[in-house]
Amino acid sequence: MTSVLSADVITAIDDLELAARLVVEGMRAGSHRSPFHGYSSEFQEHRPYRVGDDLKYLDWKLLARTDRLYTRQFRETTSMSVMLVMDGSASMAFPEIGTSKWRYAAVLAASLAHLVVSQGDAVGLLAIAGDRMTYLPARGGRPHLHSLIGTIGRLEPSGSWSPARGIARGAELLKRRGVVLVLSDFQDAEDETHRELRRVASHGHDVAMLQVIAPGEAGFPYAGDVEFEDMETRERRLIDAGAVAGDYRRAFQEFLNRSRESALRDHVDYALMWTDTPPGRALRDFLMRREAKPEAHHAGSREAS
Amino acid sequence: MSWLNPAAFGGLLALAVPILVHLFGRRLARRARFPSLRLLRDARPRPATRSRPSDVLLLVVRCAVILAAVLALAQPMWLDSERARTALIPVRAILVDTSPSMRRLTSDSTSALQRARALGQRMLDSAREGIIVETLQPGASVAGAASWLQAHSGVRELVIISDFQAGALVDGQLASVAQGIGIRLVKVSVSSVAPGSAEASGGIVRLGLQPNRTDATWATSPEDTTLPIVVLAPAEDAGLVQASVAAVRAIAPRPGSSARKVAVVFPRYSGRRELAAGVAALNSPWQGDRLMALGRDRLLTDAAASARVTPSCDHAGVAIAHNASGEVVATMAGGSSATDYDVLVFACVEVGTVAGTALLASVVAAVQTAPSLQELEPVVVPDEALRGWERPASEPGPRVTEDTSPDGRWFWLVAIAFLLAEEWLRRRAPRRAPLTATEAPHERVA
Repeated sequence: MTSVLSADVITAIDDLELAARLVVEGMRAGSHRSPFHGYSSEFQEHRPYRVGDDLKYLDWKLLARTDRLYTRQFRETTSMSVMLVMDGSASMAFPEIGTSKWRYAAVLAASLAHLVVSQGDAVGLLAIAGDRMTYLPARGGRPHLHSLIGTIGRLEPSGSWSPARGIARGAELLKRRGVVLVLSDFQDAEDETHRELRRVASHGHDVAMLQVIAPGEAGFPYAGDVEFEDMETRERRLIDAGAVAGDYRRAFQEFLNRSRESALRDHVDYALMWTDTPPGRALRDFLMRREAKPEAHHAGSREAS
Repeated sequence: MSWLNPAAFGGLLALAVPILVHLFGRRLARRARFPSLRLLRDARPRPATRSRPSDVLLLVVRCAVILAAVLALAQPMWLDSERARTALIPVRAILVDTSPSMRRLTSDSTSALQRARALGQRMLDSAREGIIVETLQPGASVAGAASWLQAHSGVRELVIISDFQAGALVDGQLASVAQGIGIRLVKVSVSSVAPGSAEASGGIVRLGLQPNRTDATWATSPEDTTLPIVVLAPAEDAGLVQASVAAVRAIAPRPGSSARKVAVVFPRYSGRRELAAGVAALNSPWQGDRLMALGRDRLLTDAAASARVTPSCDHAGVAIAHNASGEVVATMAGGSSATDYDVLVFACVEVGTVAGTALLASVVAAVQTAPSLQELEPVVVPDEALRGWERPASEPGPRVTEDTSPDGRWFWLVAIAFLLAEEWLRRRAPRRAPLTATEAPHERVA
């Protein structure tokens, strides 16, 4: 087993790009094939070689047999596109001490972007933090990766999250069919979120929801009279925390179950990311599960075709 | 018990902190920012029983911690008899003014300086510890004396003994004396000018000390002056009269002049009986003044004490001198138109005796128009100003090593004991809303 850097260490690294590289390098050992490959390189036809064609695509076997220069052509020679949709709502700033959900999601997103770009694919970003929507079109290349990770690093969670503006718009902005990875706690507008995810998946996109949850919000370590303030609505409520703790934990568990079940039903890939799990391990587990059951994320495209 | 640092009692204001915590601390619920309240069931906090006994006890203990700390900071000092004595007897720095103006005479004809030294010694004897500094300029020496006092503990007092001639002390010089050190200003009152005459060749020089200058007047020859009185004595005693007058000139080298006609009548003077018959009562103020002056004259009093009174001496008027056995040595009476003199002094001693000569000298001194004392008095600092500068010793100085009272440290021990009690009480009290509670176990969904 490779040594995996803990969540606290990784998320405490100020340089998001470095954190992403550490995460990706740590998980390389387990992953062999590209988890996102499989769409783009489909042979279509041969074409006579023209000066300037990449020799990589020259059909050497044909040359050996017939002594003619032919270039292999593919149906989709462009790379696959991955759109990272990030929930930058204020609730992602929880907990305020230690690793916040936002920071954890940022490390995950940066690592995924690093992974995707290093495989020659394109990655884009759509983050919604309050009124601000940050969009970077899907592209490949190191400079793009650098600016994308820099953009994520500069974002601060605020306001609330709108699934329609996030998920649906993210999918729209992917010009072709691609992978839509949604990083959120999925706390807001549960029904609407699932509806949007379902719709996007049915359009042929490979959709995955990465539910980022902090142990503190699931465990509810409060007792006595506490005045809770909703981080998004700013609503305040004085609650005898000890009295409601049991109910809350149960309700939260149900909420997590609901999220997972509707994801399964809608053919949306699902992963629950605890912020105290090393990001490298969480990411590798997620990607290995995708490799293991390719039919799950091909289902959407099959239905569309 | 006394407190070396009573300002520390201001720290009692800190008692408000535990009291406020007690009153409002439980009312304020802890704040927590939480991602979403939608999964939280509403549960009104139950009305908490506000003051449990442990809370009240905690409050009392917290107040006691502060109280003990404040008492310790105030540096208490238990007063046993020995300490009380040392604490209340002042340490004195005594400045004795030796400026020339102190050479003037006081009412008991000692010089002001002598009296100041005696006073200083007396104050030093009654002090726990002290120094006497003789200085020409008391004002300039204040700072030094104050710093000497600073180094001492207990009640401290700065004493200045002077005639407080203007300029001897100015307001600002006392400013260097630290607060808490008492200031006592002892004024030596001076009643006459200094005896400052000396015989010079060919004349007599008389020195008068003024606040800012010395007046010197001189007479070229003693013969310039005549006595301002008339001596009535039998003709056969003319030689004795001459000798007496010369003696008087030696005592009072430069007698002044007087507009009044004063006669001294000796026994056996032929017209004495008629004069005695014709006298009037002393009825004008100046006569009264002269009478008082003669009565105070020590030369006359001393000489008269041992005088031998002429037997069957008839006299008139008010007695001005008695001998040791109570017999009248001289009387004084007002003159009338019949007598041709304004004042008559009847002597009952013979001319030429010590008492007779002393009488003559005294009368000469008394009748000459003496300059008023007020004019001779140098300008002095007014008594009101002196009183304004004075202050009692208020706070005792810092205690110095040997006799430092360690009483305060017991309060520190008490404070620490209370702090431990507070800690124990707090731990025993049921926890509310712990910040770092362990997470409740949650099921991980893979």
